[in-house]
Amino acid sequence: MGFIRDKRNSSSSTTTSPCADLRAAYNNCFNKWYSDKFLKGHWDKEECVSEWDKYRDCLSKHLEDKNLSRFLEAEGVKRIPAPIAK
Amino acid sequence: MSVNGVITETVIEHRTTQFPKIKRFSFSSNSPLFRFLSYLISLLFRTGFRFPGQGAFILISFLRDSFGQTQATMVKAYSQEHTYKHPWERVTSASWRKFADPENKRILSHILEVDTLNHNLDSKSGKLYTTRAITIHAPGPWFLRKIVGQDICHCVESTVVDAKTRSMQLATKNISLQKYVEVEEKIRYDPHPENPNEWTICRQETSIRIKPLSTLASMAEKIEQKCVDKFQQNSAKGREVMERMCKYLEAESSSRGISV
Repeated sequence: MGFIRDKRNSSSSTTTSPCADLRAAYNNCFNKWYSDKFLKGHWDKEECVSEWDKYRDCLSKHLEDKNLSRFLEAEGVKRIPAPIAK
Repeated sequence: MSVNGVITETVIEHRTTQFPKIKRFSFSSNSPLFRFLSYLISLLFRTGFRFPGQGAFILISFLRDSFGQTQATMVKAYSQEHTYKHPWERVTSASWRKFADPENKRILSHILEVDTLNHNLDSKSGKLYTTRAITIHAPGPWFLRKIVGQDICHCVESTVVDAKTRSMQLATKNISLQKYVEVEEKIRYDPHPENPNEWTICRQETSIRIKPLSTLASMAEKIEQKCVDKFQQNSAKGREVMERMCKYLEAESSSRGISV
């Protein structure tokens, strides 16, 4: 007689997957912008705005964890990690 | 009385048995709590542990050290350095893509989701602020899931990239399991002072904060109770299996005329 493992509780792991396509679209756009524009000094204009809006709308519908939604709602908050001494 | 009858009697006797509650509680390296905590921390370590293989070692030595003390909150920090022989631009681009690349996804299969929750571009200073949620699959002992109520762990990663000064700073913290333990990982990518245009230096700092012992003690009690509960459930399941098996044997023996 052994301890039988609980097999359930896998549904919670896919909370944001409905947004996978929108996330991929945003990430692709972001990565391109980061490498081609931001790093080259063209940081004056924000891009990927429509991708971000769609992705964010989706997230706000599917993000179940309240602790995470808190971060989503706090738009524009600048969270600066305390710097590590050089 | 038939064979079946004897079995039924035994079952009734089992049901009335009280499992003794273990009162004593010690912090040995073999105790379930020790292993539980090691597991918790190793889990959190996996979030972004950029230097695999060292987590377990750090953990064990850390836990050995800390349980000898009775401080209210135990903090421990570790730092590491690594030089990438790639320019800063490439390293930071890689950092953003790390979780999305299919090859990495296979290796980092415990990373379920990485979602951008927030971003902010300071177009004057050339600073980019980003907050991401990292969801980790944490398959573990059943009692962990019973306590935590889930087998996933959420972490929040905050990033600042300063394109003018060429620096990238990341800070990752766990959101789940905060009652028990807090792990914070800080990473900083800068151009390497010896070869700033070709190399990148990565400095990493990890701090672990374990909540007061009183919390741990009550947690240990909970684990204990869950163990007992689960044991009782499984005993019932085991008995069910036994019952069916006995019935099967009984039917077989009566048809063949052999008594088992």
